[in-house]
Amino acid sequence: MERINCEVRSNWKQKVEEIGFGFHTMDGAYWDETAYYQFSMDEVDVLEKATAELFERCLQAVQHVIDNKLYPLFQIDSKFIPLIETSWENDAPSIYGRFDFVYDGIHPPKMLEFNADTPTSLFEAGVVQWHWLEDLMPGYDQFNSIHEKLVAYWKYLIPYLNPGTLHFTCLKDNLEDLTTVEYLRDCAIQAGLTTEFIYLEEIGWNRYALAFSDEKEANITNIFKLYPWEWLVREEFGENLLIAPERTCWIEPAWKMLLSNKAILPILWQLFPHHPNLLAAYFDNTYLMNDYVKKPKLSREGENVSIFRQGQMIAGTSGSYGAEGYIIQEYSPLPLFDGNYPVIGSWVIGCEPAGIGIRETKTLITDNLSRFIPHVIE
Amino acid sequence: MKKSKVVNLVLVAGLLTACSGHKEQKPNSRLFVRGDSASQYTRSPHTGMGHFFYFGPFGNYHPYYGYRHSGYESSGFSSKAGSAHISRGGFGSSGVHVGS
Repeated sequence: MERINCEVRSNWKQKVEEIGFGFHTMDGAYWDETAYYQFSMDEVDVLEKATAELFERCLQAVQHVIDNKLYPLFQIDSKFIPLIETSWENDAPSIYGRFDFVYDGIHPPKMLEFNADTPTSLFEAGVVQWHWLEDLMPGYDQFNSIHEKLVAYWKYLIPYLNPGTLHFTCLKDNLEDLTTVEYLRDCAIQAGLTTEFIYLEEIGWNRYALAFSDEKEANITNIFKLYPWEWLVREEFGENLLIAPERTCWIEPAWKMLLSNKAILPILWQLFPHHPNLLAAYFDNTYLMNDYVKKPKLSREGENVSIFRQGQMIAGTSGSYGAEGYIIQEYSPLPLFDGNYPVIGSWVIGCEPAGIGIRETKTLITDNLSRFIPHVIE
Repeated sequence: MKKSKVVNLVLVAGLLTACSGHKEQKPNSRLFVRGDSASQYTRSPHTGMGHFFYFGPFGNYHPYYGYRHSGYESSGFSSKAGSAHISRGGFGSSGVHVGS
């Protein structure tokens, strides 16, 4: 694994905007092609195997949580437990997830967390970095079969959906979220599905039909939402999710509430202690680790995360999370390449590893100021 | 080979054009979503102090609990009007961006 500086395309903004990538610059550069990471095929195989292995372990962990009713550890409102259990028992459709790994090309990849419910950076990983490769190094390979796996998996899911249209939804006024959702819808259309887009704020509740409805007042029978379950359930329409839940198939399904919550990390460690791809994790610092990271169970974009070395805090972020409780995870420093700390985002589409995207920061905690860096296989 | 062979997009390329035009404004205030928009001005059942009238869209009278508000304040905001039996704006109040 190497970080290699390179020339940017002179018309890179035009190039990425032509394919629909409008959020290349947010609070500073987000898409960054001044460098790329190069992996050997052996290293890619290691990442691919770790992703497949951890996904399997995560599913076993969900089963364990459900069998042992460990919901209080996740701070999940007990009203919504039947929704989680039913979606799990029915094997409700799921399309994707992204593991975040610490990886330096030498030691085994270690799982930092699993973004199982609302992962973003999908379009950058699946399309934008692929076009970059085609432009600059067309003879090279990339760990990236995200696009065709999305199309293939939507096709696979067709018999498992309710009859009718597949809706897609996200919040208004956010181009990053909208692009992610429209990319997923694009793939669904190519898979042969009939789709509609509706902003989350426009979803209706029909109190006669007891069903969610779209802007044309048709019942929503299937919907992909880029919106966290823990937010959905606490909002005004949250309890409506419990009324005739079979009428709407929500993707990602409700059981992803367990995997996207960092309470799953101590449970994984308890079930599979010393697994080579896991970091030690606990619900409190019972084992008096000196080097550890304290993470809120529901934190997003690195908010309210603190890193401790020798018991002293060396880095921390602010934010609005933490009331839900914290977990403690063994500290495994991100590797340093030319003053940059990369995190590998490894995608699962359906149940299979599908490729990676790399986000880089100058700080120890990967936050919303990270940059997306493309990669190649040597 | 790990690489995608073909990436064809039918929707996303049009996004930038679509997003560069009109941008809807979100109000700062919260919106009261009525519990029963079609309800009438209604007389309560007999109470210890006689009858009284209440306006159905904002509340209802329960024989045991007395008068109770129905509906809710929503900061999720829908710009669409439609049938009275469909309420909107009940999702979307927890954040402005989802990235993870």
